[in-house]
Amino acid sequence: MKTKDEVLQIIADALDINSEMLTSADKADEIEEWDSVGHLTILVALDKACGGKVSSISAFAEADSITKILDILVKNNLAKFD
Amino acid sequence: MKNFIFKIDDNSEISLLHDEGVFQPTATTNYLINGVIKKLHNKNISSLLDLGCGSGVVGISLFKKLTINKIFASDYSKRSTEVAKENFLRNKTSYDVRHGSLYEPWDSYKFDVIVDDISGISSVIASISSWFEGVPCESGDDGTDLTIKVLENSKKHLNPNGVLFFPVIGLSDTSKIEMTANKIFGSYEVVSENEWPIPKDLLQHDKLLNDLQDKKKINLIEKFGIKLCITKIIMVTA
Repeated sequence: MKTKDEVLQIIADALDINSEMLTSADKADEIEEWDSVGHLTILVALDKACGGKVSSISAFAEADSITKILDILVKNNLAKFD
Repeated sequence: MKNFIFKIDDNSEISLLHDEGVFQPTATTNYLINGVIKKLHNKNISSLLDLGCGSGVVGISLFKKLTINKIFASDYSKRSTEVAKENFLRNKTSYDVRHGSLYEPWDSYKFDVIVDDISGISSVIASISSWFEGVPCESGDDGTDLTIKVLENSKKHLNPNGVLFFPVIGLSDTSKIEMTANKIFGSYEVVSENEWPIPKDLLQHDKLLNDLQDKKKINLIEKFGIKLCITKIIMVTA
């Protein structure tokens, strides 16, 4: 199970940006690198980090913010935040 | 005519002219260029044919990144060949550009390398996409007509051990193309494989995409609840 910091780092690495950017920006349209290809890159990276358990979760298609991604991961027992 | 900058990779880019009716480079163009570079970066190439050259982006990029004596290029569109000539000149590339369909301009010519970037998606998809505005696409409902013609006629235009690169895009009947490559060349190598999301303008035609998928005219996959297309870059050897 991933921590919030680990998930943020995975997303930052996928978008090739500094993870600090993700603390000030939340939505995809606030981050230049988060276009449709960037979105797919994030999901592929999360899938790899979560042992292939992300690809079958269709809710990720509409997850256009960090908050939504984190929520879906928690709901599917793939991440846990204190 | 407009100027645009094409980024080959993180370290290099080229300046090109573009005009209406000339095919704009897409992600497939990048996959194709990078696939060829990956396989041929340490080779000396005497002649490379850029088939379906459009603005000349593939030939010029490869001339910049590889050791190539001369680029040969052709396109079905007369306007594309005119624009390509200007682009080859401004990028100081040794070239021979001709107008004509497929191998028609290269009757008795043989090449070390052929790079095919001719339309390889379903013509039904092309007609509703923004990629082919003002650009002809006669690849048939399943997108295979032109690629298969290229495969059928490539051996006689390749030098011994010459290689042909071409993209196989999920917006076509990929199995049919791969089976044809196998039949003609005995085997093929997948140089790269990339997944990319179907653009929003095409997703508006969801029913049409599903119909084509059901009829096996296209071959999309679904992951994360997103419709994805796989583009493979394939290499065959004469």
